[in-house]
Parts: sequence; structure tokens; C-alpha cells
Amino acid sequence: MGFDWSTFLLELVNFLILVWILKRFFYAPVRRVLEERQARATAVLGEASARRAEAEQLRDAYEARQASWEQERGRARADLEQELTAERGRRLEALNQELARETEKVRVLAARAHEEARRHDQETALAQAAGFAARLLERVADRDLEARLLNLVIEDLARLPDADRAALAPAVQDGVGAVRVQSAYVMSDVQRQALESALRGLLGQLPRCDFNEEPALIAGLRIDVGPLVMRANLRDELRFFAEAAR
Amino acid sequence: MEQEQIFAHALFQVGPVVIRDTVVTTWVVMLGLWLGAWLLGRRLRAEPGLVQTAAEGGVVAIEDAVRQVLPHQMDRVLPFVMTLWIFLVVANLVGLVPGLHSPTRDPSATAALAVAVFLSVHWFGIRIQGLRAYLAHYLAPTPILLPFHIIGEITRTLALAVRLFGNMMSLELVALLLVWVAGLLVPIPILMLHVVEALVQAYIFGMLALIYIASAIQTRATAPAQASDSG
Repeated sequence: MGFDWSTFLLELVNFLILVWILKRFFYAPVRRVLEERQARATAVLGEASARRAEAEQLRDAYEARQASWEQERGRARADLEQELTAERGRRLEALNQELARETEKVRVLAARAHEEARRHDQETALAQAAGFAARLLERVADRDLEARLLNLVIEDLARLPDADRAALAPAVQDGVGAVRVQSAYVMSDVQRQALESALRGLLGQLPRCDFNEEPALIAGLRIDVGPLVMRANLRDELRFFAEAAR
Repeated sequence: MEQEQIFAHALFQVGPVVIRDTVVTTWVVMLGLWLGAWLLGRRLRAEPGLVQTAAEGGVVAIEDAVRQVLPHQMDRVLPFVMTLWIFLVVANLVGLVPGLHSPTRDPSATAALAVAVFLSVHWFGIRIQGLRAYLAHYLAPTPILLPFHIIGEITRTLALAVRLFGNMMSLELVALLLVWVAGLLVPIPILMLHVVEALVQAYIFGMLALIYIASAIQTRATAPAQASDSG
């Protein structure tokens, strides 16, 4: 039980050796493993922090981009609505103009149709009137009426203006031209001589006269002198009246 | 014969050196710790098993204890204090193994450990503060206290040795007496008390050593000491 110096010194040396053993074989390896694990954990945490920061950065960028998209979409929508409004206005204006043009066109067409109908009715009325007048005149016309018309022709030829006389002169110049005389009834020799006398007084010479009968004239004469036609019959008068009424 | 087993006794002699059972047991403990540390060191993995987890937990617990007392000098002091704790735990508990006796029941062994603590206190104090600064603290606050400082160094070292020896020897004696008196089964609760007492004594011895070392390192003004530590 007593104190022993050998044991004391050996225990002291043993303890110092044990300090080295445990430091070399226990503490250092375990500490190294702990530090490696801590380093890995730190690295993982760092990586996680970096990824988190990156994720947050991406999130911020995404949110900023989304906000930008929202603004851009809003602007695009506003532009689109403005453009639609303008286009709607333009189209509405064009439609109104087109409608106005169509209305005007319809109005013009209606007016034209109305005018056409009116004219057609007028023409029909005139034609019917001319027909009625012609049938009436056919019934009342006779040689006496034609004789009176011949007298009127002769009187008119005598009062023909100088300009018309000058225009008729080339037609019968050198005796080449001929005067064609159409009458509803056969003219008597007296009537023919009176007409030829009037023509000689008008033209200065007596051209060759061809007398023909044309019952369609109802009563009266139609005299062709070159390019000129002198109408003194009821048929042409009725046509003149109808055309003048148009 | 029983007295021979309870108290340390010489097993053999090599020249003038007497080899007691205390030394042989210490060698056995050292061999076991070395083998355990070597086997553990070969099988350390990133994903720890049960044994590695326990070893890492023990190291971290000791580190935390040392860091609380010496936050800036932990790396220097830790191997010594950790060895002290591990050896004392194993040495105190080895007496529970039939045929073996705790080395710490021998005053020569506890005296050796106390002297090791005594020397380590001065070693770390001089290494960290420098010789002049360390010796100067014996003269503070006044040189008149120098003898009392010296007496305190001796007595606390002696107290370390005697405390550990007395407690462990008493545990051995109580266990032996109970076996004699009450047979084999009755001492089991007492043996549990032995385990607790062995752990407590190991903790007390190691913690006192740590406090002594810390007091030697931090005897000067705290701010300059910390400044030099951090430097």
C-alpha cells in the first residue's frame, strides 16, 4: 500500500505515452472525420445557400420578368383596344360612308327608275296619243287636207330663208340631183305643177322630180332634196310632237 | 492473500525497478485503449456506425467542456485533459473486472497523475504566457503571497492524489467487505455505486486539472491574455 517510486515514475511515463497514443490514434482521426463532416456540411450548406440565393435571384428575375410581361401585356392590350377602337371607328365611318353611298345610289337609282318609268309612261302615253291621233287623223284625213298641206308647203318654200336656199343649191347643181316627193294620196297634175313651180322659184332651176305615193304619211308631203328632207305630213308631224314632248 | 489483492503489490522486478500490479494493469488499459483507438481509426467512415457515433459524441462532449473553460486554448489542452478523463474512467472501472484492480487505488499511481497535472499546469502556463509572465503571477498581487502560492500548488496537487486514491481505495474496500459479509448478489447495487463513483471521481479529477490549467493560463489580466491567445 505504500508509496513506490518505481510505480510513480512508470505511471507518469505511462500517462505521457498514453497522451501521445490517444492523441495520435484516437483524437486526431476522430477530429479529422468531424472536421471533414463539418466541412462537407458547411459545403452543403454553402451550396444550399448558393442555390437558395440563385433560386431567389431566379425568382426575383422571374417576378420582374412576369411584371414586365404584365406591363407589356397591359400595354399591348391597351394598344390593341385603342387599335380596335380606331379600326371600329374607321370601319364604322367607312360603313356609314358606304351606307350613304348605297343610300344615295339607291336614291339615284330609284329616282332614275322613277324618271325612267315616268319617261316610259310618257313615251307610252305619247305613243298611244300619237297612235290615237294617227288613227283619228287617218279617219279624218282626205285629199282636201293634203291639198291644204301642199299649199302650206308652197307658201313655206316661198318664205324659206336665204341660208336654207344656199344649202339646197348644191343638191340640185348641174341637174345631177333629183327631188323625191312622197304623198299620202296621188297628186294631181295641177298639184305637181304648182309644187314644181315653187321648187323652181326656190332653186332657180327645175330639178328632176320623182313623185311617189306613201299612205303611211296619212296626209301631206315628204320632200327629199339632196341631204335635206322637208316634212309636211301628219305622220311626221305626229312624230315631231311626240319627240318634242320628250 | 486478500490484503495482497486489495492493495498494490509487486509482481516482479527488473533490476532496481519493481513492477507492481498497478503498472501491469495500467499497461493493459493502455494496450486496450490503443487497440480500441487503432481499430476505431481504421473504420472511421463519413456515415458513422454505433461505435463511431459514441466515440465522436465523447470527443465532442469533452471538447465542449474544455471550450467552456478555455475557449481560446482548447486545441492545446484538449489532448491532455481528454486522456486524463478517458484513462481515469477506464482505470476506475477496470476494478469491476474480476481478477483486476483499479490502478487508481495505488497512491503511487494517483500521485503520478497529480504530478502530471502539476507539471502540465506549469507547462501550459509557460508555453502560453511566457516564463516571466507566468512566474510573475506568483508575485501578484504582492510578493508576500509567494509562499502561499507555492503551498497552494503543493497542497492542491496532493489533494488531487489523495482524493482520488482515498475514494477508489474506499470503494474497493467496501465492495470487498460486502462480498465477504453478504455473498455475491447483494453487492450488485454497491457495484453500481462503484460505477457512479468511478465516473464522478474521473470527472472531478479531470475538471480540477482543467481548472488548474485554466487558472495558470488566465492569471494575468483577462484582456491581454485573450489578446495574446487570439494572436
